[in-house]
Amino acid sequence: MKKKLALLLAVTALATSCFVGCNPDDSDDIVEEIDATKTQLYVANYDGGVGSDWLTKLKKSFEEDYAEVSFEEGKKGAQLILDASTANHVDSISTEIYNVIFSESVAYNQLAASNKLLDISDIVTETNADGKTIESKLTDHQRRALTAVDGNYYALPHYEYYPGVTYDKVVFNKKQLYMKQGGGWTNASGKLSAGPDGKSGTLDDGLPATHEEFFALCDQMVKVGVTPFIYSGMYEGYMDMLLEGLMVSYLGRDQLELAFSFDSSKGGTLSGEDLVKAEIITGWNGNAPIVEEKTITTQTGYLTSSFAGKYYALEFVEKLVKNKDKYFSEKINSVLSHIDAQEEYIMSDLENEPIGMLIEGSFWYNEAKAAFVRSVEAYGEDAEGRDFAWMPLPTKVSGSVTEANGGDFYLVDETYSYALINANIKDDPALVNLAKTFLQYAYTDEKLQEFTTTSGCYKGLNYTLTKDQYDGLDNFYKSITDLRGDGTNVVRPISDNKIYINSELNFKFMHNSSFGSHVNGKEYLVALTAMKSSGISAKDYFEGMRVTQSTWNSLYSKYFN
Amino acid sequence: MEKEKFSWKKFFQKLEISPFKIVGLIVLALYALSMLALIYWGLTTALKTQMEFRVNKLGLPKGMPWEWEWSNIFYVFSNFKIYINTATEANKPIKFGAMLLNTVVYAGGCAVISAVVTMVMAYMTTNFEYRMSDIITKIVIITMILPIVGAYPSEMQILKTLGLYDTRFGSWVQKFNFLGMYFLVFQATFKSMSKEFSEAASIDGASELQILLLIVFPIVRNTLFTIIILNFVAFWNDYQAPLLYFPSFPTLAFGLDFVTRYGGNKMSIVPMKMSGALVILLPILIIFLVFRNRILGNVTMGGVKE
Amino acid sequence: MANNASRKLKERNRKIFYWLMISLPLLQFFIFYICVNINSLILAFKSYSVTEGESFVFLDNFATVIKAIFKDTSISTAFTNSAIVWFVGLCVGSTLALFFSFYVYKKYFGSGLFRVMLFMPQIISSIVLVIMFRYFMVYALPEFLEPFGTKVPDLLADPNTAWGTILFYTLWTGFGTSTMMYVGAMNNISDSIVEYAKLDGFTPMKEFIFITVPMVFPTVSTFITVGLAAVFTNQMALYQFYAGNAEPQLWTVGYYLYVSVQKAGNAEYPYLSAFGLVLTFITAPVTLIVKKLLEKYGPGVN
Repeated sequence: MKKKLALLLAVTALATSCFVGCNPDDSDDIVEEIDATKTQLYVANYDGGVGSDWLTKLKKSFEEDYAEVSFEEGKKGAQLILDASTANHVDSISTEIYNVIFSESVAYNQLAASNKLLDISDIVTETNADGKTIESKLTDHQRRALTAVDGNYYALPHYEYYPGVTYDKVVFNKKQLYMKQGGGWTNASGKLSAGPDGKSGTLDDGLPATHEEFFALCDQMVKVGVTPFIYSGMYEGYMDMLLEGLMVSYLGRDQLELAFSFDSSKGGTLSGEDLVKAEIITGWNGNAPIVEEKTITTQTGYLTSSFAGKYYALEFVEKLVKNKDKYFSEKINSVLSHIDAQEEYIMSDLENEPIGMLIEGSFWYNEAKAAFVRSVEAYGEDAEGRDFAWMPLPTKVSGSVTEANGGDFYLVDETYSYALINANIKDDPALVNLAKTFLQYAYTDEKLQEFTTTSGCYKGLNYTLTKDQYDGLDNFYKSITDLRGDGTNVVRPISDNKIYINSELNFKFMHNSSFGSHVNGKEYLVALTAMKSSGISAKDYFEGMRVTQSTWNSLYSKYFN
Repeated sequence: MEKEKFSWKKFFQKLEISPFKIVGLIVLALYALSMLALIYWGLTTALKTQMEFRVNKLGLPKGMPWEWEWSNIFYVFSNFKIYINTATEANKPIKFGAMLLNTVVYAGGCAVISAVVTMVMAYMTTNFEYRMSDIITKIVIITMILPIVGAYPSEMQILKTLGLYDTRFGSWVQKFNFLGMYFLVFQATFKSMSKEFSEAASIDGASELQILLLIVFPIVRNTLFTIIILNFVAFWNDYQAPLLYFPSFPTLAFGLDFVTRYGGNKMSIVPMKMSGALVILLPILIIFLVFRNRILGNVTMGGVKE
Repeated sequence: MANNASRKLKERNRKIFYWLMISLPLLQFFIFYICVNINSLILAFKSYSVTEGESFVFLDNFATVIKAIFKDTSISTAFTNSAIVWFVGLCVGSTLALFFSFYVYKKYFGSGLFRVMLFMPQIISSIVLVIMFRYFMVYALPEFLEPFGTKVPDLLADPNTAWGTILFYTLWTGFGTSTMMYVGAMNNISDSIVEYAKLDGFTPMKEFIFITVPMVFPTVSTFITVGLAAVFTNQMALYQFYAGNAEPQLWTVGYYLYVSVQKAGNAEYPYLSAFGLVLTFITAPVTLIVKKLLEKYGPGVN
């Protein structure tokens, strides 16, 4: 009897869980009934760091603004059916039901060349409701890259995020971790050093200008009871974000763009002394790199695998690893996810075990919403109005940085995020019209600003916020806005070079993609893991990333002319 | 009469306490504790909030049991989800219920089919003394001890050629075999079974099928049921074969692995991961505890001792 | 004569029934064992190319495999690891399994509970167990040991300690089926032998070594043989710990093969088939020899 009862209980539990578990309603899938009086547009959004609130707002306003517009005979208005999940809707785009897709990590040129994306040149080049064309919000570089396949536009930049370091300004201030002019340490109100750009009175004042200074900062942190770094131990590839941030800070825009354009002349606009030179490591003097300046062309593009800036970034991480007990938080473990790491970082100062810096992408702030809420619930006022900021990283390895030799601040967008229209609707003129109208609507200044104020992130175009909108941002997003400006100092790792267009996946500048190496016959995907677990030096790892001329020629000689 | 002098040796001998027993008890107690500690920790962590887990990693959740965070379990039921690409549908969402159904169908179907086919083959080879029976027995023994490694690619090819790849039916067909240890278990059971009933039935005019279904099957049903349960448990936990051969029918185990590694932000916190682990653990644990005597009964290669 | 005819008819019907009942399973065996392995054999001699299609390359794949085994450090490490896992499983795992089984068979104090606990890892999905184990090792164990002044590092973070930790995990969760079988075999030992031993003053240890182990040795030797046959398919739960991303220094051959097949397309199948065959050529004779040796020299009932 007891057994039969237990068995009945188990079967009932199974059946109930099947039923409950199959329930279509949940927070990710936005389900609504089809309104037969309107034209439906299926919109998918990769719900990663930016979330979906912005899309819900956009849907509402679009449906209201176009309620009286007929997109097909017998119907008035539009109904946007949304999917906001972590599904990748781009890999199998041809069989997707979604008409408009906002996604990331998109192999744009491949998709455009294989006719999987709808040509949207018309909406990009015509004047929009805000009196501007979408094209005018793109840089020249972006215009050339987005039309590289056949002169047409097939997608628009969606959100951007940057790899690098966040620092806690409250901790820096409290513990006097800003560098004083002339040496020493001070708080935010003291006389601060010029920072990585070498100019006083800018946003990076007081922050380390060189790698050497950075380690001095780390040592000072340890001295005053602050743990320098935390990162996700579960996904060690996130350390690539520090590598990339250091690289772009050292190299600057012009040099980094060479890794994708393979053109020191910038499309023939520069010549002679004005050509952009790449600092390349050509050899070693013991353990010291021999750095030479080289001109990059399509034929010599392989040299960009040996940027000096890449080596210095690896050397930086090598030094961190050698002192990991000192510089890395003890909370880092093999099951510490990126969400856990964010939470540990947020809570650290509140729990009087401050951690100074978080290695993450700039999207982390949005991802950590739940952790922020928990912190306020637990710690009340102390946890409100936190002052995290995006950290400008050193522009030199050592020596002194002045206005003459300081580097400009750059952010690099490693998202490859695009808004695109699925080419599988091309034979449906009503749907094409609706999709294009919607996309154009989403790229007016007003809607771009709304995207930023809702998600905290920027779309990859040039636009700014109004003063009120800026004032309404959290401190972290304000720091991003201050550093980003109107978007012109965001480096975009794309190009119109034939080699790049035809092999874009080989040149992806993204964590877990761009810092793989071959050392002693073994392949390593993540530099941090190679250094920590296999004791590989920065020099060996760097050498393992080098591309030779013969390899370059064998892969890309067909694109040389 | 002189009282016998007390001796610890004799005292322990009387109690039959020996160093062997003590060492065994200590080691097994530690083992049991380690297993219980793991399950206790998983269960208590699953019922905590994230903030509570931060400050209380070992203890019971705060408050009375009805105040614990049962919503974690309900959240998992409703939001445990993965996306798969099938031949016809991209990003098909598979929720907890569907994965549970896949698991039950896979484990249940394969368990029953595998056990019944093995039982029938063992019966045929024991009660029908033809040359083929001998060959079949030898095949089973040879395949048990002869390792064939790395036939995965070939099996994939054959499944795809036969149109059985990535189908539920294909998973059952794969298990429609008689190889393995349980063949010997059934054989031993049939060998020890008295042939009186089946002979009497035969004299009475019963067909072989009738004898199998009406005479033999009732006698061995306990053994069969035991083997079905053992198979069910094994297939419930097998996630690699479904992952490799039937990716459109992800099981719970695969779902949990996927969600734990790549799941959305809400599933990223430790209490939620433990909740996910628990909802998969609990059904099978209930079945095990209910049928533990049967499962842990004396299954040997010499038969099942009831 | 009527009886003869009826007997012949009965015998014919019996044969028909027999062949009907065994035909489908035999067909399945033919397709999924014979054909699969023949296909595997043939595949090993082929090569696929997108541009050139299928072609016979005779022993090229085998040459590549042999080269990989001796030149590729990841694969030679995998072989070493597989051998270590088997050896430790044999020496430590089997010994402990027998010891635990004896305890349960003798129904000593707590044997009912221990029997359930030993079998628990077979019941719990390996994914669930690994997830709980990983988080337990990182969060619970250090917290538990902290008051005793012991600081436990994250053993799974460093591949050098991860290997030992996962090996421990494999042993710790591997007692279930063997214990169940050994207890079953021990229960078949005649009570009179046990009584006689008791009367002779045998301590439990003596009984275990001189009576129990020899009496159940056929079952033990089956497990040893089957374990040896599976030396190159044992994945050591690496997939559950790392999915396809385990560091090469942790690999076992079974893990390497599984992950390779998962990622493989048509072009890689021939090499993997050849790899499998090479492993079969190594393990098959060794297994048969060991089986013979165990039968000849293992402790016997007498």
